[in-house]
Amino acid sequence: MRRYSALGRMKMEQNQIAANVCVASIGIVFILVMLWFRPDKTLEMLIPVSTSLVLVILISRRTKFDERKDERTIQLMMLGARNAFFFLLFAMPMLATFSFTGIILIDAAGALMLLYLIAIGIAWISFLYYYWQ
Amino acid sequence: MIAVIENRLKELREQKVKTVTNSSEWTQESLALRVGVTRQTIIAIERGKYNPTLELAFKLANEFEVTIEEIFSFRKDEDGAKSNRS
Repeated sequence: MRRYSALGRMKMEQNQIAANVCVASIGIVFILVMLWFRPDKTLEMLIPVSTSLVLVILISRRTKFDERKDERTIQLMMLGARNAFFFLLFAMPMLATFSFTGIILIDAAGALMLLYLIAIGIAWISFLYYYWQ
Repeated sequence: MIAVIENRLKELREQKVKTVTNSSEWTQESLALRVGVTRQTIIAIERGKYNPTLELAFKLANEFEVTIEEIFSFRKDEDGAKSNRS
C-alpha cells in the first residue's frame, strides 16, 4: 500500500474529474440545445447523446489509467495537450482558408471553427481556475 | 549556459540493496510505491531522463534519510556556454 496519500494529489484528481465532468456537461447541454431547436432530428441525435452519457460515466469514475498517473505522466500529458493545441492553432486557420477558397464546405468548416473557439475558451477558463485555486 | 541536474539515486539505492537485510524494500517498484509514483518514473530519474518535482525530491531524500543535495546536484556547464558563443 502507498505510504504517501498526499492530500494535494487527491485534491488535484478531484479537480481533474470535476473539470472533465464540466466539459462533458457542456457537450450534453449543447446537444440538448440542438434537440430543442431541431426536434425533428431527435433520432439522429440519439447516438451522440448516448455516447456522451457513456463518456460522462467513464470519466467520472477512476480508471486503471488514473491509478497509474503520477507527476511525470501528468507532465507528459500536458506536453501532448500542448501539441494538440498547437495543431489546432495552425490547422484551423488553414481549414478556414480552405473553406474561403471553396475547397471545403462552409458548414463543416464553421462547425470545426466553433470547436476551435470552444477549445480556446476551455483552455483559458481551466488556466484561470487552477491559477486561483 | 547549459544547466544540468545530476542525481545519485541509482547509486544510493544499490547501496541500500547491498546493506539492508530485506533488499526487496529497495527495489525500484517498492521505492516508487513509497514515494507515490510509478516504477517508470524512478527508472527515468535514475537514467537522468526526468527531473522530479521538489515534492518528489523531498520524498526521495526522506526515504534515503539524506538531504536533497546528497541525491541531486546542479551543475552549470560553462564549457557548453563558451562553445555556443564561439
